[in-house]
Amino acid sequence: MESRRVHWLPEITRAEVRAKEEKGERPPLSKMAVCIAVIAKENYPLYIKSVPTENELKFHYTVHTSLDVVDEKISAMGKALVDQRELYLGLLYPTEDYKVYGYVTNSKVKFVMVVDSSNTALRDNEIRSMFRKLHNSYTDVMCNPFYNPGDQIQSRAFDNIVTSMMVQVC
Amino acid sequence: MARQGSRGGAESKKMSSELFTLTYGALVTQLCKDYENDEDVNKQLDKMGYNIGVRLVEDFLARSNVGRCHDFRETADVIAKVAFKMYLGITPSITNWSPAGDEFSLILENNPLVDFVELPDSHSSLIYSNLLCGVLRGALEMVQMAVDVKFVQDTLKGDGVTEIRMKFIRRIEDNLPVGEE
Amino acid sequence: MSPSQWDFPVELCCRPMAFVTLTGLDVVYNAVHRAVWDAFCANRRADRVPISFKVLPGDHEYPKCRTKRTSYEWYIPKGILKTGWMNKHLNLVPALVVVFYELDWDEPQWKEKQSECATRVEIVRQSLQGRNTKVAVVLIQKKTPLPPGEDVIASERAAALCNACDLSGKSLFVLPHTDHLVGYIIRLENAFYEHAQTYYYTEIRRVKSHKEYLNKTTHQLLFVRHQFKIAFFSELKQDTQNALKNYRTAYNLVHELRAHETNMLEIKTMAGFINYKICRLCFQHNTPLDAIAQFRKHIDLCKKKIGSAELAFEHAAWMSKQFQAFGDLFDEAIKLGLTAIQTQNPGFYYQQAAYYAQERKQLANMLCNHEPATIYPNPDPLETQTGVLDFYGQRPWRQGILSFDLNDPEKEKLGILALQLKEKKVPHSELTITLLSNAVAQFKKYKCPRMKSHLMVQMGEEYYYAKDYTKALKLLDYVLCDYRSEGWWTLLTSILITALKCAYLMAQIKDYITYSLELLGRASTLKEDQKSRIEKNLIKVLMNENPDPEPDCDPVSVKAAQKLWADRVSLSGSNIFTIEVQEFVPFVQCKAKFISPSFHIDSPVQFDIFVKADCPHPIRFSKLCVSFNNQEYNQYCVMEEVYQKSETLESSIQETLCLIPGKTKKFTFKFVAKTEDVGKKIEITSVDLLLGNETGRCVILNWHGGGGDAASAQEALLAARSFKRRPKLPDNEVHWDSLTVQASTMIISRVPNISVQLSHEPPALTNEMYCLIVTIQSHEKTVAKDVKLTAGLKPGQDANLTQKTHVTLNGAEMCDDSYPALLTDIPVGDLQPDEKLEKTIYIHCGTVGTRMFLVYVSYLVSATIEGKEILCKCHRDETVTIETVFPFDVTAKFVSTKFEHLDKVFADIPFLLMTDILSASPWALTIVTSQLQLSPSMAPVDQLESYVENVVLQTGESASECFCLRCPPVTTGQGGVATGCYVITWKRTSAVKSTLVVNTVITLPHVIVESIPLHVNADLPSFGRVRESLPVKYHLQNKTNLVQDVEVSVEPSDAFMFSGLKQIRLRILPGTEQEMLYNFYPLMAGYQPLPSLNINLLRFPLFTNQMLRRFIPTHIFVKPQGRQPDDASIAAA
Repeated sequence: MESRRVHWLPEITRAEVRAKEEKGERPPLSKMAVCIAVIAKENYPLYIKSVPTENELKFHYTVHTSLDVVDEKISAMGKALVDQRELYLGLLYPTEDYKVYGYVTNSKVKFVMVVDSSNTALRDNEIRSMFRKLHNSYTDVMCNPFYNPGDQIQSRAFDNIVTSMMVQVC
Repeated sequence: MARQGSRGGAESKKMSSELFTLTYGALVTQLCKDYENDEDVNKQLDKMGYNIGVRLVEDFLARSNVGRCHDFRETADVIAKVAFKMYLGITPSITNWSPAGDEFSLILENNPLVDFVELPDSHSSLIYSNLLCGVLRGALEMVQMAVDVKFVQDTLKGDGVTEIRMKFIRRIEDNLPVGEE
Repeated sequence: MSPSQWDFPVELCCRPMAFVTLTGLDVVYNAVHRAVWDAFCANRRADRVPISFKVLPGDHEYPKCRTKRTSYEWYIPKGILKTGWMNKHLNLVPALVVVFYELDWDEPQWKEKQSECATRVEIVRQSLQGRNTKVAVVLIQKKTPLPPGEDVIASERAAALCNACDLSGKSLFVLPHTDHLVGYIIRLENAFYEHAQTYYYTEIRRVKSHKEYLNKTTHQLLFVRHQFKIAFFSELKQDTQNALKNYRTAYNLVHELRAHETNMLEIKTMAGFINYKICRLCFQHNTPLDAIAQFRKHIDLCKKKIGSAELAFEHAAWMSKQFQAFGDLFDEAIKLGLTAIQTQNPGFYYQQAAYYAQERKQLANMLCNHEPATIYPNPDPLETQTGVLDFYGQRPWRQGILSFDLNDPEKEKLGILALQLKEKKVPHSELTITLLSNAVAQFKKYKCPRMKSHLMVQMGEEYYYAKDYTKALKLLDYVLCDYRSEGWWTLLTSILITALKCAYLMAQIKDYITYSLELLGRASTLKEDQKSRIEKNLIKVLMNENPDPEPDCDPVSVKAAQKLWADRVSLSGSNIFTIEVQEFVPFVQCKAKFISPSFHIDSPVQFDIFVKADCPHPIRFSKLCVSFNNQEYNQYCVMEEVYQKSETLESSIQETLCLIPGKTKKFTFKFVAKTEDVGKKIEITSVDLLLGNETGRCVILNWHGGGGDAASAQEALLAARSFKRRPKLPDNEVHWDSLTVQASTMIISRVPNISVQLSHEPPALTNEMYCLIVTIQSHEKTVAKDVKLTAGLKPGQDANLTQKTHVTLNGAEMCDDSYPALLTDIPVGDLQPDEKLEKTIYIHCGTVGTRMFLVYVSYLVSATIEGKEILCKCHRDETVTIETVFPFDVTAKFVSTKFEHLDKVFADIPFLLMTDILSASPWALTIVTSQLQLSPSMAPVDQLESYVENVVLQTGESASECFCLRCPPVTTGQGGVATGCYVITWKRTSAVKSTLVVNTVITLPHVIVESIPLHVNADLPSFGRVRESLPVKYHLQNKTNLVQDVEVSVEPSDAFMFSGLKQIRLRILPGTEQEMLYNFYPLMAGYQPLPSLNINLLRFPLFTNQMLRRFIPTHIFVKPQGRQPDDASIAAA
């Protein structure tokens, strides 16, 4: 991630930048995840949200088991990842019904996104940009002085971003 | 009163807005931890702001090169267009003048103090940015104006904008000791 | 498990090999035949050609060949593939029949034999009527054949035999039954293999030739069948590339078939078979990605082809089988060297197979939910006349019916019912568990611990459904810690719920309590009402009552469980359970905290135990006890409350041992430490909290150390970061988060109540007996007994210091090296209150430098704490740093008798030794005496006596002495001679009389001694007077063994007139002396230069006047001619 030094006086604030980003480049197909999770460095969940129609527990397991692959990817290409500053881990593993994607921040916080297997419209680039957006929002959560790092994420702003990425089941 | 100084406005120092916002956030949360209830925190923030204001006005006058204001409307303009711009990088709009011309609102579309902030439910009565009220009150007091400043709308509380209401109370005579009303 | 309907037939799964039958071999009675057969069978490794051999009698009836169809026009196939077809070509219809016949070329009855052989061949041919099967003849011969062409008879007879049997020359073989049997056999089978290949080639051609007669409308099934056959024959021919190609075509064709509910199963069955073949060949060709792609395609195509809704479980079963078979293929390929990866390994397929098996169970439960009275239809619609199906995947009750309409709905209903009733008996859980367990093994291999845990949870749940609660619990319990350690509370809670059900259903009290404890705890994500229910049950169990059943349990199992619980209640004894809680997150939290990191032995050790309950209702416990590393203290730290058995555990909120949810309860303990624990650490090793009653059921929650459980470390970290406001609490309450565990404390000795003062006069002076006065005064209220003093060099400093420091109590004796550097435990006796005691320590420091000295006073005193008298050992120690310096700087120098500096002295010529003692001590020193101890090579000129006796030197003052010495000539020409030692005996001026004096020995420098040939000295008065005669006598001594020629002259001086020999040349004999007498007559007053004496030695040109001047005076003081009274005053000066 490029270090963002938004200077105080002459420039617009970060929130504005963010707002512009969101208005402009939201991919039309971005509302496609069925579960989104944030996992702490220590591997416990900071946030998990799944589509309400499905068995929540199942997604907890899906996300939890995906950490096997995350761990392996981090340790296998840890060095390379750091060098390239590549945070997106790509497809972690496909199951019969879902595809699970991963993303890890430099602070070893993991984002996991579960997408319906039937959803072939969602391409790698879109997944990548969804993760980036999540990461930005997570950074904002961390900057909230009322949030204690390590606690469950209860931010409404973060929740809204996540909801906007999930399948709207009618 | 205005002073031409080495603090000329052009090459102001810059700092990371995140650091500023986080610093203010740390201040507020620490107050929240230290004080029994949110009302006390609000008071404390106002008091701190006041102490900033009475000092900052000196810097402001030296740098901005503005002269004596002739009326409250002019003061409002200076606050919104010069002072807010200089110190917070934003220009609030001035609205809702009272018919008597002694009361107006500063509308902040974007309050840099609250970037990232989400108020937990347990702090519903906290006026997070109350420091600003104190700053305005303190600064104006140093130029012989007693004002009442308060937040009437706040984006943190779900309002669309942030609104600071300022009401002129009276002129302070020079021979009165400042700060004791 | 017996093979089920869904298992693939063996003939599909095996590797097809060319089928060759051997006839004419009597492997039972004929040893030669037996050996031949063994050679064919033994060691069939990969390097041998792939043939499957079978021994059959010569008159074996092969399956009849149906008459060849000339036209397909009216032919309507009844199914895709006959169930017997693959087996027929693998095991029944040979590619080649070999006729073995014993016949040597020189057989006397050749004719008869030849015709018998021809008959045998003919019988075989008859049986194979209409087939393309090849026939070959092998002659078993006793003799080794000659090289080809040499045996004329052989060639002739071979040709004749071929003719008789209607064989081509290529089909006749000779097998000499000699030493190299295996070699011959291998050659034979290679030839057979060629024949077989030709056979399968013709078969492929034959099947292909049918194609042109087929039409797309009526013969769709045949397209698939023929394609499959071609592929299968290609496999038999070992042409796997073409086999794969043809199977792929067949696969596409099977999906082109018009599918309907009635033929769905047949299509899927065939699709499954062909897919299996394709995947298998892809793995064999080492293209696993192709295999995976094919399998994915297969699943995608078939996933939605459910078929009859009433038999939907069949689809799930079929899907499960597809995944399992692919997993097996994948796993087999790995065993043969394929590398799998974490995200692509057979485990995923087994896992998916298990999911479908679970789905099958669910569908079966739903669809096969018949009344218990439902009877299996009779006659069995699943029975066929032959006992087997004609075509794969067809319904037994309507075989070969291709119509999509059901002409007999009643029959169909019965058939479905039969299938449903059969499905009901399938051990679904068992199937699922096997698959899950396969998956577990794979994921374990591919580093997926979480996936493994997840599958184990599923296995556990499946066991639970299968009512094998023991196994279920074992698996669930095993994985609990994984979820706990990673803090996945939702998952942990879900597993605990199932585990609790198992524990309930088996009436496993300890497990039941353990899981309840955690489900009530703060890690549990259960709702309050569920927690409330669990807590009530827990209390019931602790009160020795039956808990209410867990919800959603199988009613039959619940009934059994209730009986078990009832039995448990009636049983008494062994009802105390200890649960080590630090491994999980129980509903009671505990923190132990010593109020101080250290305690003095004479004050009570105090600590608090904080306990907090997270359950919904108040809960009472009966006992709290603490254990220490020194178990002696355990007895003092018990809190117990006896209550009536009839009381419930909930009710009494006001009691001490009752925990109110969310409130932190503090228990303070106090005890007196043992005196032997002074200097040791007291550690809380465990805290035990007893729930329930020791007479009824009782659970001991045991925390190791000072409390804490599986979640508390992380919580403490987060609490430290928290900004959250802590609301003000009443004075006696504390915030749980703000408490930290302090499980150990140090016991330190009582604060001494004595003073130790040191008085001394630093710095110490080298080698003196430095006096250190220790004053000990007791401020104790009672007598201080057994006071002991340890004093001396503080241990742990430079080892050299220990050698050069000595300590003694006896000031009357000089220390030597035998004295220690530290005096330990000098008994001083008892000290009454306020008594003062003085002890003088003498320290002898042999070297200069800084030393640390320790003065340590220990004593015993009795103290009363908490009404208990203890004897405390107290001590006070003082350290002092003392510098040791030289008392004086001593310099010694050599000068001539004229006080001129000498770098060397001349033999036999007197010189002076000057010593200079400069006091470096800040204290006044008294020099008692000094002594010059000359070495043998030095001799005093006069009496050596000290001039500095009793001289007192203040700092910076110095005292000098002068000794006149002479040095005899040295014979050897070494560098110098030792002078000797200078001994200064001294003491501090302030010291008392009895103080020992110190002898400081200074070694004097060496001096170079030189011999000189001539020594001159002069006799003259100490002064002269103007115009008065001054007699001067020069003595010239020859110091050599030679006669010396000496030139002597005196130069005149302005101040003197003189008489005597002005210039003379004389000779001096060895060892003798010549005197020269002069009379000088001073002319002027003052310090006047004498007329100078010049001596020139002819033998020693190096002897100069310069040297001479050292010995004789050059000037003299001349008094003016005087008035008489003045004379006296001058003489006095």
